[in-house]
Amino acid sequence: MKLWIRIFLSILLVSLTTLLVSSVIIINRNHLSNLKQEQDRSLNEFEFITSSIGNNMDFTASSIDTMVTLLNRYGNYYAQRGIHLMFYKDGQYLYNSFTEIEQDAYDKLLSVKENTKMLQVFEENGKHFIMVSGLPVDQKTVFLYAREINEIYTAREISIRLTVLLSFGLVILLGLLSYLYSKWITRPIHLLQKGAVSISQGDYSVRIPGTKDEFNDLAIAFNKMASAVENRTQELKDRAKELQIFIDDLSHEMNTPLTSIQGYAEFLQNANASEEQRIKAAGNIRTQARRMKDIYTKLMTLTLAREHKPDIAKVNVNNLLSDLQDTFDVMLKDHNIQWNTENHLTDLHIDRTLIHMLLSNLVKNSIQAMPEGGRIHIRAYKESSKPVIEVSDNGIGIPEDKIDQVIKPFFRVDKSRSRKTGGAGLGLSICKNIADIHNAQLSIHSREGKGTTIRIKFDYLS
Amino acid sequence: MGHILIVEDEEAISDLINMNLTMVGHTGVQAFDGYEALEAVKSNRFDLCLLDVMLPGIDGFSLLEKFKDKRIPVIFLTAKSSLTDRVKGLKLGAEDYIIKPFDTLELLARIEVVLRRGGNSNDIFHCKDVEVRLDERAVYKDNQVIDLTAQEFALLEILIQNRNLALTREQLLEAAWGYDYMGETRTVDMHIQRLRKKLDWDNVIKTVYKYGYRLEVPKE
Repeated sequence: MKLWIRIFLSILLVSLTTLLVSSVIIINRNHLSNLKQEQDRSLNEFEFITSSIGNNMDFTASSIDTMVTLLNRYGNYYAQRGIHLMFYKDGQYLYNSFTEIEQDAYDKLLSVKENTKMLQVFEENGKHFIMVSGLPVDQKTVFLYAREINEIYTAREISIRLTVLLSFGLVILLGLLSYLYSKWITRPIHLLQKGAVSISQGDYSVRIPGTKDEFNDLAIAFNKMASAVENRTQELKDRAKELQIFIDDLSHEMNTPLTSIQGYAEFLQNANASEEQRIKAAGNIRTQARRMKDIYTKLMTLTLAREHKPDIAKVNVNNLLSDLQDTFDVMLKDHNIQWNTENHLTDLHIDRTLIHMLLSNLVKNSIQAMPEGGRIHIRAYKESSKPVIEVSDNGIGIPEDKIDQVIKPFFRVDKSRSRKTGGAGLGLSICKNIADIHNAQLSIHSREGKGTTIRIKFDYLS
Repeated sequence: MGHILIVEDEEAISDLINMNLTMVGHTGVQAFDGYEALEAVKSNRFDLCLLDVMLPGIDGFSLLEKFKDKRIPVIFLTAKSSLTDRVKGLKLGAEDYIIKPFDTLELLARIEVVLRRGGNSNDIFHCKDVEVRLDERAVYKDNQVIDLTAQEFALLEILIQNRNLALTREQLLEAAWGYDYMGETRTVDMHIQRLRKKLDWDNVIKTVYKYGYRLEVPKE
């Protein structure tokens, strides 16, 4: 059963029950009190009347006829005042004008003992009578007294009716009030439910307003949850979009060499080509195949780097840098590039293979940025007690609006140029991955036409 | 045949297209970006332009508009199979499009169609002492009329249009007999035999071992 219905019914039932129970108790007590009053009054009247009669009549000396006549007079007199008197002696009624109740009904009262009184309430045809019996005067004559006491019963009935009426009124009024109240109380629950439904239908922007009661904590928690869901969903959407772009780019990258390979293979098969043309065609196929392999290898590296558990060890920086120079020695000379190192560090805690790969990528990029020659400057130093390695060149630079995009997979600033030199556009994204693995920050600073500096800042104190 | 401008930034693909074009008798000029293309158009008259829409620098579609002004028919090459790109290109006035990776023969066939539309295809073919007039559907050897059946002529036409490129029997069957022809490829062999005999072209229509047949002529 719904909460608001439970609250509503509870309020209603409790109030109703309280009213009814209190009313019943009060009415009852009232009635009993009234009854007692009537009883007392009856006994007093009986006492008074019988002693008055006893004083004015001589029951022992008078004859029956005299008594009857006198008693008649008394009977009539009092009957007019609402009090019925009956007199019984030696097995018969000397006077009895009380017709409302059958004589058999109050036979028991005739067996009253000396110096005692008997009192009983009788009901006949909806009317209530109180009857008293006693042997007040001569211990032989039974005096009977009867009086209608219907008022108190009527009063009780009126009270009961009033109670019923009030109950109805209460049910209606209270019903309305408690309905409104219980709805109001459960409003936060309703809001919460609406909020949850909204979220389940994809609207993550809904929030619950705070309240000043226990529901406030719940509202706060709910809002936090909604925010978290919203953020997570956005993250997932962004991730999915990124993935889609990656796949589009990848398929484009693969498509191009494939077109070449397919075309040249077809050419080799069916064209009436000269020897020179055939050699050229075959050469192109090899180049394109190598390029696809390169992309594939770089992609695997990218993926593996993400999964790879780094093999961190203490690496001597001088060794690292001289190894780097050795790797590129010939290429530097061929391209007329000056190589400079400035090392203020002793060791680095890194995965040597990965960092060598990272630095190689950066150096390769620098070489490609300076086809006419230039200068590469490698700096290793401490900044706020954290180690930093920088690779700078004075090459072609990166346009300011493209700096954020260069680390994205497959992105190339100038597509045709780098394709010629065989770049797949994956170098920097691999570097970023390697930096992430080391919890290091990779930042790019560049001025078009002036040069580029890539800075790797590690996150441990040395 | 046609003088064709190739605008494609991938050197390997540009070379490939050029080689194929020269094979079948067209002449090609290669441009590797939008600027080179515009320069080339200033000083040359082209019968057709093959345009890659994914170019560095100037966007391929805007180049398309420029070429349309100069009344150069354009077939654009696109790597993307997006419908919107294709529709956009055609709406901007390109004659046709072809998706990379493309089939060489298909590219050549489409070029042929566009050239014919522009009235630029060469209708007369010479080899040894044979002259073939494609629009008249007439063949002369030593100035004597040679009788060819309609089917033989159709086969001859395909070989001429794809000269110096080998075609498989299946390709010849489909091109000269039609898509839904249910016969065997032996009929191709028979027709080749007859053509060779009638035109004395035993050394012109070469059998390409394990592949098919090729009409070989010195390249122009």
